[in-house]
Amino acid sequence: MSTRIYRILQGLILLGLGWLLFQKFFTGKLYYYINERFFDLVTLAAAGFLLLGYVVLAYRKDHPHHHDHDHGHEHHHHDEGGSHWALAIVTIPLLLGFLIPSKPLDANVIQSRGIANDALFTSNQNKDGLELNAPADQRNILDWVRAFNYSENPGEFAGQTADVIGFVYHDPRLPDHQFLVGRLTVTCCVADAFAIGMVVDWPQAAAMADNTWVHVRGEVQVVEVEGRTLPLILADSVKNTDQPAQPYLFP
Amino acid sequence: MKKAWEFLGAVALGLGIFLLFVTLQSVRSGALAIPDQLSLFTTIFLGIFIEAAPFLLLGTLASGIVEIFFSREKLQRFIPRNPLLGALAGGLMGLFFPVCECGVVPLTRRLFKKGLPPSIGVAFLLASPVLNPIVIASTYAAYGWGPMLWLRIGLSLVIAVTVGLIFSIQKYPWWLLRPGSMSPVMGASEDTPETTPQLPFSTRLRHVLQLAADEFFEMGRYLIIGAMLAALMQTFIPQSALLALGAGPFSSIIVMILLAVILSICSTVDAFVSLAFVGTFTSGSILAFLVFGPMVDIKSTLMYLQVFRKKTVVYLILLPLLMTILAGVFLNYYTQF
Repeated sequence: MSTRIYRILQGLILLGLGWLLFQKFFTGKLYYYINERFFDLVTLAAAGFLLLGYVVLAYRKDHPHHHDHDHGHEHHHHDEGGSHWALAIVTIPLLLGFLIPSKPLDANVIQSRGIANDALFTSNQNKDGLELNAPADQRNILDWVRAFNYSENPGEFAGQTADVIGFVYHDPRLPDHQFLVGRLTVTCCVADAFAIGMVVDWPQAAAMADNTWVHVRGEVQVVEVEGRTLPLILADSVKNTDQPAQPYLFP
Repeated sequence: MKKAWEFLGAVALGLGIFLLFVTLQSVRSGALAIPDQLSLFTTIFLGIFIEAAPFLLLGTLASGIVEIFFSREKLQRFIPRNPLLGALAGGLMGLFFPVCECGVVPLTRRLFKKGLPPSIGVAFLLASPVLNPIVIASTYAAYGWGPMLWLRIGLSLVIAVTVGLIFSIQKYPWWLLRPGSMSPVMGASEDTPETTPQLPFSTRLRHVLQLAADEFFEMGRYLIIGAMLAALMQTFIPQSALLALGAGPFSSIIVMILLAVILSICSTVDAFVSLAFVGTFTSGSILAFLVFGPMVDIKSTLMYLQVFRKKTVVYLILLPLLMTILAGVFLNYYTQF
C-alpha cells in the first residue's frame, strides 16, 4: 500500500470513528454502552477523531517524520507491515458499530452474572440519602435497594407506594406467585453491568415471561430473608411496557 | 508484478467488505437473525472500546506534545541519577500527567524514545494509572478517606518503585525495550523538530495531531484486540463461575485479580465497580483488584508488548502479581480494615 492510500484510509477511519460516536450519542444509543457520566468525554473524543481525521486527510502530503525512521530500513518495513494490520483492526469497531443493530444487555446476563437485592456498590458520597428524599413513587429500583441498604430503620418504608419499571426475572428461589423486577446497573461501561432487583408479589407471576419490561405499582412491605431486611412489592398492577430509552441505571 | 498483486488484494478486500455488508444488511432487515451471543459480544466490546477510546486519545495527544515540544536535552536535565530517586520520580510523575492505563502506554513509549531510562519509565507506567489526580479522586469518592484509599496509593507506589529498581540494576537497561521504543543512540536530532524551531507554532500543533493519529492506530489496535478478548470471555465464561471459586483469604485474592484482568475496566472508575464486591469478598482481595487491575489487564498487556520485549512483559506481569498477592494475603491474615 502506498503511503498516499494509507493516509487516506487512516483519515477516513478516524472520521468514521468520530461519526460513529456522534451517531450513538445523538440517537441515544450511547446509553446502551456506558454510564452517562462519560457522555461529555465521549462527545469530546468524537470531535477529536473528526479533527484528527481532517488533519490527516488535509495534510496527507506533509506528515511529520517519525523517529522510527532512524532505525534503518529493516525496522521501517516492519512498522509498515504492522500499520496495515492496524488499519484493518481499527476498522472492526466501525463495522460492528454501524452494521450490528445496537441492543442493550438484558435479563439474560443474570444467568452469568447473578442478581442482587442489596446494593453495596454505591459510593460513599451518595450515602447521605439524596434519593431517600425523593417521593416514594418516584424512586427507581436502584433508589429502593439503596434506601433499604443505608437506612437505619428500613421499617419506615413499609406501606409506601412503589412505582417502578424493570424487566421480569424468575429467580428459582422464589415461589410461583412472586418474581423479581430488575434493572442492570452500569458504573462504567456494560462490562461491569450488574443486576439488581426487588421481589414482586403478583398472583399471575408465573404467567409473566422472563425478560419482558413491566411497570409495577404496589405497596412496599418489609420482609426478613436470611437475616436481611428487604423490600417486597405487593403489586396492585403489573403492566407490560416498552424498554426505557435508558435501559440501565447509573449508580 | 507487485502492483498486480496489490490490485488483486484490493479487489479481494473490496469484495469481502461488500459481502460482509450484504450479509449484515440482510441481518438488519430481519432476513437473518443475529445470534444473541454476537449481539452480547458486540455490546460489551463497544462498551469497553467507547469508554477507553477517549482516554487512549488523550494519551496519544500527550505523547504527540512530548514529541514535538520537549527536547531530549530538556528531559535529560530532569532525570535523577540515583536509581531510587529515579524510580520514585517515575512513580510520582503520574500526578502531573493525569493518564490512565490506556493513555500511559503511548506516553511512556514516547518518553523512552526521548531517552527516559527504562527503570523510571517502568515505575511511571505501573504507578501512574493509580497515582494521578483523577483516579485518587474517584477512589476517594468510592471509599472516602479510609485505609482503602491510602493502601491503594501506597501499595501501587511501592510495587511500581520496586519493579523500577529491579529493572534499574539491569546492566543494559535498553535491552528491556523493543527496538521501536528505544531512544535513537546518536545523530538523532537531525530531523527532530527541536532543531527546526523556525516552524511556526500552528504547524507544530498540527504535527502533534498527526503523530497522535499515527499513535492511535499503533496502540488502538491492541486496545481493540484486548477489548475483543475481554468481551469474548465475558460472553462465554459466566462471572458466577469465577466468583464461585471462593471467598477465602487467599482464594478471594486470586478471584479478584482474575476479575480485574478480565473486566479490563479503566482505572478511573474501577473503584466504583469494586464496591460491588465489598462485603462478599475480603478487603485484601478488593485492594488487590484496585492495585493489580490498573497495572495489568488484557488490553494493557497487549499494549506493553508493543513497547517492551516479551521477557520484560513477563516480568512486568509476574512481579506486580506476586507483590499484590503477598500484600493482600498479609492484610487478610493480620489486619482488619
